[in-house]
Amino acid sequence: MSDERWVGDVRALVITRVQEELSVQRLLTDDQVPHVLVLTPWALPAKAQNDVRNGVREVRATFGNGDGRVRVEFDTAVDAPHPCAVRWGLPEAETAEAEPEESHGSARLLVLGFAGVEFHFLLEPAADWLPLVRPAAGYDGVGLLLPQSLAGIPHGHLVDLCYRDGVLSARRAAERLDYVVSVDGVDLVADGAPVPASGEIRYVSRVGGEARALTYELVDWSDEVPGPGGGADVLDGAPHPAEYADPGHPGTLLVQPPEPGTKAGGRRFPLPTGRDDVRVRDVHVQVLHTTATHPGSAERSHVKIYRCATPQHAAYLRRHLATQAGLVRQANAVAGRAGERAWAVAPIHLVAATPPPEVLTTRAVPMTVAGGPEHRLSAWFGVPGQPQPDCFVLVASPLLDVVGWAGYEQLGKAPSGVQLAALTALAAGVDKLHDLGVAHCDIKPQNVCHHLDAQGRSTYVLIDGDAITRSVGPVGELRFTPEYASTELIRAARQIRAPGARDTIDLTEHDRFGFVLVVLTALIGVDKVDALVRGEEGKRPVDSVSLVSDTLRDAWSPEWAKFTAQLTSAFQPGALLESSWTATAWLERLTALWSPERVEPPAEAARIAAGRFGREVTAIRTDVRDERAPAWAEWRDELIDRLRAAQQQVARDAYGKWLWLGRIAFGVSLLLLVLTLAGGLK
Amino acid sequence: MIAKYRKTGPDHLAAAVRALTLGGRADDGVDHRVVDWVMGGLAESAARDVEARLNGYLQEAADLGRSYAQRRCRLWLAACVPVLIVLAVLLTLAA
Repeated sequence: MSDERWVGDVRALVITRVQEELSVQRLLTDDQVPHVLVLTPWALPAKAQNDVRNGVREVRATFGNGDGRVRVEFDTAVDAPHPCAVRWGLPEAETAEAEPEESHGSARLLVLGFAGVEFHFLLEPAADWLPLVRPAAGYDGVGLLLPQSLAGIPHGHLVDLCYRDGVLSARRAAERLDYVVSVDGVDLVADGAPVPASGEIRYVSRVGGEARALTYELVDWSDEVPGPGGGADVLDGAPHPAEYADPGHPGTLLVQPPEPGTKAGGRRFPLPTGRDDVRVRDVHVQVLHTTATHPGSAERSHVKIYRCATPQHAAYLRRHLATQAGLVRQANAVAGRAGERAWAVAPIHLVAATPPPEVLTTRAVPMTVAGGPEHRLSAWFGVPGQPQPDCFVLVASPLLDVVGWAGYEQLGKAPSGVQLAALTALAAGVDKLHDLGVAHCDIKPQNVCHHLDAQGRSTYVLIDGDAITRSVGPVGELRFTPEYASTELIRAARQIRAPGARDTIDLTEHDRFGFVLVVLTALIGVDKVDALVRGEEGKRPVDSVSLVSDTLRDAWSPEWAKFTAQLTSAFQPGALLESSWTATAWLERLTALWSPERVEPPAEAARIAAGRFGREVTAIRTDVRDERAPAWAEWRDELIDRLRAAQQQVARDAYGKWLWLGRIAFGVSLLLLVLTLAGGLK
Repeated sequence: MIAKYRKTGPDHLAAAVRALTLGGRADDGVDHRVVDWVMGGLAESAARDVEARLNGYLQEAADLGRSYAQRRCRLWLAACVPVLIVLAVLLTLAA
C-alpha cells in the first residue's frame, strides 16, 4: 500500500471515529476539550498530521456550533493496528480542568539560546509532548518553533519536550535520523527522560560529525500586568538622557518628556507557548509615545517607552524588539542597492533605559541621579511611587513625515504613475521581509512616511515596525487594522471567534494586500481608497473585484484599461496567495504598463494657486508635469531651475514697471533743454 | 553709497536674484513636499501651504526688482537736476 493511500486511510479512520464519538455526546461545555490520540506503526508525515488535525477540527466545529477546539496528538507504537489506532478522551465537565492545572504546577519560561540570540517560550504544565522544531518551508504545524533562518540548527522534528509537575523531559522524535541529539551528554531516546532545568541540547551529524548546540534554561514566570498609571507628571520638564543599546548604532539621545497629563496606552506582545490549543500568552505592557533629540544634531527621533510588570517581561520584550529590529535591518539591507541607504521599514533601535554614568554626570546633577532615571520614567507613566528598575524598554526610530496622500480630484483622470518609482524600495523591502519569514502585519497608507535617502531622493518607508511578526502565526493574537486587512485574514479572524478555535494564517498575503492598497492610494487618491475599504468586515467594496474594477474604470479614462486590469489582478480571489507573486514584480509590471503616450495627458487641476503670483506658481507645476517619470532628485533640480527662472521673470517685470519713470523724467528735461537752446539760437 | 545706486542695472538685478536662497542653505525650501505638490500628491491644505511658500520666493524676487528699479529711477532723476539747472539759467538769461 502506498504511503499516500495509508495517509488517506488514517485520515478517514480518525475522522469517522471522531464523528461517532461526537454524535453520541451531548453538547460539550466550554471546559471540555476532546483529546484524540492517533497511534500509528510509524511516524505520520507532518503535512499529513496537519491534514488530519484540520479535518478533526472541522468535524468538531460542525458538532460544536463553531467551537472547533480539540487536541489531536500523534504517536508511534510498534503494535499499533493498520492503518492506525484512535484513542478518544474527554475530560469530565466541571472538575476536569482544575485538576491538571493544579497538579502539573505553574508555567515556566523556556529560554533557548543559540549564538548569543535568545528565544523565549512559555511552557504550560501539561502531559503532552511539544515538538521543538526549526521548521522547513511549508511547515504549519505547532510546537516550539525556531526561526527558519537559524541555519545552525538542523531543520525538522528532532526533539519533543514535555513539562509537567515542575520537571522538564525530552525525547527523540522520529525525523532526521542522520543526527544524534543529546542533552548534557546524554543521548535522547524515543521514550523520553527527565532533563535538568538548564543545559545544552546538542545536535551531532552522523554524516559529517559536525555538532551544533542549543542552550536552554527554565526560569520562573509571572503573569503580572502593569497597572494603568495616571496622567504623565513631567517633573521639572527635563529630558531623560539615554544611549542607544545597539553597538552598531552608538549615540546619545535626550528623550523628551511627553505632554503633561498624557496617559499611557496598553499593548500586548505575544509569547509563544508552542501549544495547539492556546498558542500564545500575552505579555501586557504600557506604552508612551514621545520624541528625542540628539546632542549636536538637528535630527529627531520618535521614541516608544514601554513599562513592563517585571524585569523578566522587560527582558523578553527587549529580545522580541531586538529580533524585530534585526529583521527590519535585514529587509532594509536589500531595499537599497549596495552603498545606498534606502529603507523599507523605518529602523528600530533599542535604547538603554538607564544611561551609563558618563552620560548622567554630563547631563544631570549627581544628587538627583540616585534613583533618578527610573523615577523620572515612572513619573511620566503617572506612577511616581513605583520606580521599577529594569522594567522599562525604550525604542527609538527616526521621526518621519507621514505622507499626505492626495485625493482623486488632485490626481486627475489618469493614474499618477510618477509615484511608482518611489515605491520600489518599499516593494523590495516587503518582499525581503517575507523571504525572511516575517510579515509587517500592518501595512496601510497611514503607516507610510517620507524618507530622503543618502542621495536626497524621496522614497516611501513603512513605520510601526513593532507590529512585525512571523509570517505564519496564530491569527487571534495579531495586531492589524481591520479596514486594511485582507479577505483571507478577515475570514480567518471570523473563524477563530468560535471559542478557543484558534488557527494559524500566512500573513504574507495580508501584507501584500496592504501594499496593493498603498499603491492604489498613490495612484487613485486616498479618498477613493477610503471609500473602498469602508464597510462591514468581509462586505467592503474592496472585497469585491468587480467593485474595484468599476471604481477604477469610472475614475480613469478607457485608454488605461490594460493598466487597470493589471492593478485589479491583485484583487482577484487567491491572487496574492500565489507564492510566485511578489510586490517588486507586480510594481514592475505596473510601471511597464504606465505608458502615457497612448493616452491623453493627465487632466490638469483647474484651480490656480492663490497669492499675487498664483499664475506663475501654477505654471511651475503644470509645466513640470509631463510624461516623464524621473528620479526624485531630478524633479527637485528641475523645480529649482524653474523656480529660479520664474524669480528672474517676476524681478524683471517689477524692474521694468518702475524704470520708465526716471527715464521719462530725464528725457523730458533733456527735451526741454534742447527746445530752449533751439529757441535761443533763433 | 553711490555704488548702491550705480549697480542697479539689469545684470546686477539678475545676479542679485540668483543670490536669493530658496528657504535656506542648499535651497532647503524645495523639499519633498514641493516635489509631491508637483506630482499632485498633496492634500488641498498642504498644497496651499506649498503654494504660499513658492509665492513667497517669487515675492522676494519681485521686491528686489522693484527696489533696484526705484534706485535706478532715483539715479535718472538725479541726472535731471543738472539739466534742469542749465535750463533754468538759460531761461533766466533770456528773460
